[in-house]
Amino acid sequence: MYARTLQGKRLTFELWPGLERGVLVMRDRETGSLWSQLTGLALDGSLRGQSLRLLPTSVVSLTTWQRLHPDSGVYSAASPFFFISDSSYSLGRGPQTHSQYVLGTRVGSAARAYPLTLLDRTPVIEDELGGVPIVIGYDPVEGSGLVWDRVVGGQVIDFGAAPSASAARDDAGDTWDLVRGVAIDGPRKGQSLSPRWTTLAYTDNWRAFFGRGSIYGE
Amino acid sequence: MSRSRTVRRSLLLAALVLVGAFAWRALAATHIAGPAATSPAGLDRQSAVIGVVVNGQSRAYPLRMLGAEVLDDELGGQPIVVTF
Repeated sequence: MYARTLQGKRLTFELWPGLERGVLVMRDRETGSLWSQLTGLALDGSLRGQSLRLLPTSVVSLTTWQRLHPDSGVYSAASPFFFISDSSYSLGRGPQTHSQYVLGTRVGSAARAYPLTLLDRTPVIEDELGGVPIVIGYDPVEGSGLVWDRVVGGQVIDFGAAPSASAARDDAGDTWDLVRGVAIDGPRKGQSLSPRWTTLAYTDNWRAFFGRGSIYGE
Repeated sequence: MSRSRTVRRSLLLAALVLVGAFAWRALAATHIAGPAATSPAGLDRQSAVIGVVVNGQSRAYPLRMLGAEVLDDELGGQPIVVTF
């Protein structure tokens, strides 16, 4: 998800009938430039080389989102024709299709994805991407996968091997809810983490696009 | 061709255009549901959504409804493009 303003000008996008390394390509109507859906980078046209600004996003279940944001709107296509009947778009534990998906994130030009099959076993993963300490919190019951900066007040937070994203302990004795990004107990109680851009992607597409080393653990 | 037949054909054509326009609008239109405790029709509450907060306003986009789509939207005064 991106801000669609560039240098103060508003862009409108449409789907371009082509793929780049298996990934959708967008076209802006104002200049006809082509943009990668996965990176927000202009691939061709007069805006080639420009980047759209990433917006922090979360991939969570509708239930979780509405619990965290009770006033939120929910996008709905008006016609059932727009529905995809594939019910695999759910992050809950156990779907046979889990091996097809990764939870991807980006920090600047660095990109990394985390297989859902790995997150099933390891719901909290500490990592560093583009020089930024991050933590991935995954809740298979709630169907939530989120990525946070693990820096608060200039201090890097180190998480132990937490069995659950909703109660992850750090080395200072805090307990964090990594679904909400909030310390729920300990000296930092009430403090918040900053979210990072997150997307659900097909494993093969992510690997083809960003390269083999872009998937955690490979 | 008689005048009445021409008028009937014109009316039929106009009706077809109107029906087509309404059908297109119904297909193309989207709306933002909520803030509702209920989910959009046909959407399982465990379905995955991409959620975003911009300038204090929040919105969720069910992945099932996005599919291979590029969606221009505006949230918290910020034009955004939603893709999956």
